[in-house]
Amino acid sequence: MNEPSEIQKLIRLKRYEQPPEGYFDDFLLEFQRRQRAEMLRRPLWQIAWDRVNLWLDGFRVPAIAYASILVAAIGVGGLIVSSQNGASSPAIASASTENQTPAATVAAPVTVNGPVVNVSTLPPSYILEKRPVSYEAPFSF
Amino acid sequence: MEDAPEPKDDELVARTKEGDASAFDELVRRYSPRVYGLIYNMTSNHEETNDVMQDVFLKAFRSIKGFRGDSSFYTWIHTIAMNMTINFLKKRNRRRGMSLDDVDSHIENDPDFIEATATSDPRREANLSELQKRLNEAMQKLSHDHRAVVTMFDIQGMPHAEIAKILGISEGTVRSRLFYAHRQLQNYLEEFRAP
Repeated sequence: MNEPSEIQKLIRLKRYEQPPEGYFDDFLLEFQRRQRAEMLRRPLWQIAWDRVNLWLDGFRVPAIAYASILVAAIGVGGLIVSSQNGASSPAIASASTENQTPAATVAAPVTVNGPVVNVSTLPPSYILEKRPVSYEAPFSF
Repeated sequence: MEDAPEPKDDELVARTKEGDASAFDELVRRYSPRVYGLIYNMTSNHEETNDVMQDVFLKAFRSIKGFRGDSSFYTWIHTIAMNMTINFLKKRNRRRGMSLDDVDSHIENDPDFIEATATSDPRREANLSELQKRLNEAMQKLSHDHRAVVTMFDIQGMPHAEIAKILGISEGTVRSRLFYAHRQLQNYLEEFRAP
């Protein structure tokens, strides 16, 4: 170990520069005041998030499990969204009509309370599925 | 009756993470004198040291959940303190040129200091105030990086390895910065060196 040089000895004198007596007690009091004030000012969502984390901590589940659950939830959510979009897609609808029998697809244009709808873009429907026309009142006692 | 052993830092950190604010108070009590020394010797101003140190411990409290214990709490808190102090000094330098009038000068009344210098050269005894002023001036003339290694090594007595961890540099860089800083300080304090 080298002997400290004169310059190092001089610089070490700065160790004796200390704050006034009682300073560190006052510092702690001031710190506590600021810390507690900050804790009270925290937004509601942050407090709720901490509560959730604390609750989850109770299960002692490794962090990777939470990540897996999150990935699975995102995956399922994505599947649901894509299946909903797919059901209303014209491309898929027209493709499904290709496998139907001609009787199902050859139908007269249908007027449904307003604008004319091109049947070829609609999913196939059979006449039998239609409700039979009746002249009787719907409710008879 | 024997006193209960003081809780270890790790235990206090764990209790703080669980929401026990009094555990963090104990950490503040334990480390504020050293953190004060670190910041004070970088800023040479008591009021600024107080403000920066408040921010350091508040930041540490806010971030403690992210502290994984890869290093000791001691290293972690010193790293936060050093980073925040250097940021503060950069901002201060931009705001105004550092005036050496801002440097505190009350060491000459410190009994420990007087005792430590009483056996030294008579020329130094006669000029304690001037010596302290020169020391602070010399320190302030160093760059932040060089002042940091001098503060931690020469004043706080930290080993090279610890300084390297805190600053995120190699031990070799710590040694070379020290060598360069000492050479600069020698020039500034030439007249106070032993004849």
